[in-house]
Amino acid sequence: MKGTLWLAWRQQRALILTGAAVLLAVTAWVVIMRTDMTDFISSRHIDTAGCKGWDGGCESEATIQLLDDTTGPIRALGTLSAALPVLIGVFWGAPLIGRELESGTWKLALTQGVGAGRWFVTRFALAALCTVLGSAVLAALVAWWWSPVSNMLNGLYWHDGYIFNATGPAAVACALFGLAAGTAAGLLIRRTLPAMAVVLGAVVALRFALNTFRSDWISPQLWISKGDASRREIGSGWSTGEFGYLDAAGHRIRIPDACPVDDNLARCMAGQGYVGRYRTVFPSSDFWTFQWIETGIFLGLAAVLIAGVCVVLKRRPLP
Amino acid sequence: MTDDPTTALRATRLGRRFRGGWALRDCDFALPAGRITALVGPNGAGKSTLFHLATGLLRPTAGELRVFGAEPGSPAARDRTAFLAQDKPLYPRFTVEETLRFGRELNGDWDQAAAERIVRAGDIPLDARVGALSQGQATRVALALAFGKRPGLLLLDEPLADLDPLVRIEAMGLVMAEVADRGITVVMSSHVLSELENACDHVLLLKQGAVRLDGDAQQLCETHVRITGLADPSTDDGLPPALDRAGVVEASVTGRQVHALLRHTGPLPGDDRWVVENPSLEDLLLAYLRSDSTPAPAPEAAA
Repeated sequence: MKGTLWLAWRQQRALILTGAAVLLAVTAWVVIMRTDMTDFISSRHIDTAGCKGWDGGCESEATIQLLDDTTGPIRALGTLSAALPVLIGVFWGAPLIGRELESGTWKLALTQGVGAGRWFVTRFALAALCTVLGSAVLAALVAWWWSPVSNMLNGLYWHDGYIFNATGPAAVACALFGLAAGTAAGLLIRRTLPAMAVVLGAVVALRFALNTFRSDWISPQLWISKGDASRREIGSGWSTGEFGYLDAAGHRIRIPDACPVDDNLARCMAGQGYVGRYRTVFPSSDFWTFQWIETGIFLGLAAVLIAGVCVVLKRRPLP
Repeated sequence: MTDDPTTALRATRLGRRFRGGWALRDCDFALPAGRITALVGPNGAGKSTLFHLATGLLRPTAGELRVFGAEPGSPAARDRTAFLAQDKPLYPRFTVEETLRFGRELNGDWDQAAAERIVRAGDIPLDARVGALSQGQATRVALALAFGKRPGLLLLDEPLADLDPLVRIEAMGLVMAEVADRGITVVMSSHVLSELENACDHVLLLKQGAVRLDGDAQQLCETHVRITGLADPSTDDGLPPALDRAGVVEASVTGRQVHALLRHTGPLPGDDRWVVENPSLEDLLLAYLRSDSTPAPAPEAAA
């Protein structure tokens, strides 16, 4: 390795090697666990593909045991993957410039033959590459392990935080955002430890906000069942929790229990003037819509932060 | 602006303001190439600010500074400037060898042989961790990094601070030896005036952000005199009546004795009641450093 790339490698190699070792161990664990899981599925002849959602017929003892055994470990892996952006921001982003400013070595680095621009771009590019690779591997592991038992009974669904935040392009984008936020915090605060605290708060707050407002980005589907026919099962969908009755004019009446569901349902509905029932649901295909929206938000914020870092690095003195 | 090869560092109306006020203001000087300049001044005089401006780690608020005609921080200036900051930053987790490699990888023109020679002369193993070195050894490694860069201009901000006396002498000897045959221009700040006297041939004295003294060390000593004698009863300050008061840098009365340091402008007292001699560089610098804070003579001593 040559030039600033050698320096970036020399200063980040402990992180890179530690991260690679942890990732390798996690991968081995997932391979073993997933093999056990698929062995169990085939030996007990569980029809995982036909068992999506709560739509009956699948609640065999074997299926319940399968979910009991796998949900916890997959949730643990999902937690690790969802926490990765915070870990990267705290331990990789915050010291990337912050430690140089704190220890004074920035004076050494910025008075050599190479300019501040190349010095920063190289070290950030190496960190970003490792972030993308590491988070993509973890996200893929989550998806790979979870897919056979996805959206089943009381198992993990695509809209659960353990899955949604832990896999897909948004997980990778969030890790990049964590790195960018840590880098910017280290540069602006000039102290590694406070920068770590700030980036921890920033990533957790943004994740919390996105989890809160996720269902507001797009409209759910309206599922109508006519007359007293039973409501369409949610399946793998994500119910918004809104359901009720429709009157002849097509107005939605959000009173879930206006009529008790029993033999007199049809008469009760007719008495109230209801012609059908409805619920609103995000189908599982919306996973990708939500993912790309959040990917865009994370990448956009990361780009803004890094552009800001580049502007500040051109200024003298550094903040 | 023309690039004058005999000038290493030129300031023109140079100023730098911080939130607390001006650290440097209206500074004009031209430090000669191939010389060793002592940068002297009390704490807060703007010495470190000047070093940071010369390396491009700071930009001036007013005026300009040029390193061999180039703007500090530009590739041309960075290539020719080596800087040893006051806290002597090094990467503590690097080995000595890696620290030298840092210099090699980040500089186009690198003198590995010279850098290794300097390190080996201090009996520092190349595989030692920088964080485990003594202050003196770390200074030597930092100097090796600076000299390996083949600088035209070497900026040393308090290189001897925190060093014990033996290591100070060793470090100064190292700098002198390396500089002697390579024609490197050195600007060095220090509070240890006696050490500067032996090493430096040019002086730049800053006080409260302004240049108070700038010139060849020997010429400055020759154009100043110290006079000592019995206080003249006919004048308030005890100095001879004919003396041009504008040239007095510092004067003090102790009992009936008057000491004064003056610039060599008008006629000097000719009678043998006054001892007239050229000051040492240290005396000269001390007089200029003191001259604002202690105006002549102190009241209780004037009686």
